[in-house]
Amino acid sequence: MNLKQLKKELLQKEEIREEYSKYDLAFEIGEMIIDARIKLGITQKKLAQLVGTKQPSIARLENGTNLPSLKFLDKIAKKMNTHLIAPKFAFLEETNIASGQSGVGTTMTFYMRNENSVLSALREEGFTSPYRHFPHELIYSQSNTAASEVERVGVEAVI
Amino acid sequence: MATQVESYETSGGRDPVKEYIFSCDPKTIKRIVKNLDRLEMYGFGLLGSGIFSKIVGHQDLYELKIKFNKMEHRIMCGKAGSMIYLLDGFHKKENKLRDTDIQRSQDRLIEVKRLKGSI
Repeated sequence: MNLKQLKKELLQKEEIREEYSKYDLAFEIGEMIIDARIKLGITQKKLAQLVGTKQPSIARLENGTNLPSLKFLDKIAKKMNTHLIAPKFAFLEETNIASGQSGVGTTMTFYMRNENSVLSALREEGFTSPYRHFPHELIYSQSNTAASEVERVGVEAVI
Repeated sequence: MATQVESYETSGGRDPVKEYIFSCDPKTIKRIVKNLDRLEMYGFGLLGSGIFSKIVGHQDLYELKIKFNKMEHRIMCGKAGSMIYLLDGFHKKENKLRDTDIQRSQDRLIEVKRLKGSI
């Protein structure tokens, strides 16, 4: 079984789908640190040395176990020769929630932080264009798509 | 080109990694799957730094390390040609990986390589 099939089976379980759609700040920050570290090609140990801490503390941040202070995150950013962009309260962000009925009868809900990123994620999955489009709601159709596939795409678009 | 990740199946049709992942709590599953996505995207080369570690003394054998809610989860992975196989999954209870766990993954990797004609 390949990874895509495995994910599809996992996301058929409601509690897993729910977890995927939840916003978990510590997890998101961990993901950001991992992605930045990979991009720079440095190890957890090297990053720990740069910011003056130990490797297990970086591992805890990356796992989303600990929520770091903004001061510490800023320090990490500076050591990576970048800067931290100020976080925002969600209601100040242009957040759209889109929901609708798919062509095969499955209700989809997309929590959109950025409409373009959701659109491109859907395009990658073969959803070419909305068949109805109006403010705060997007409805997609894709021929020959099973209901579970539509639902899975909806969940993945959240990520 | 991104690496392709597949889970190992026993001759009896069991998928030990899938079974293990399904036994985890949803938060852990999210972490495991996210890292497997990264593995597919980057391969071991860029990830061998705290998330995926090479098993010393065993060629092409790696472990995905997830520590969450005071539990240590391990997904054993092996490289066979351009493919990466998920060989085993378990909850690590001791400080070191048990030899039997490493050996089981090593044996599965050899089996996969034989089937794929890599050895």
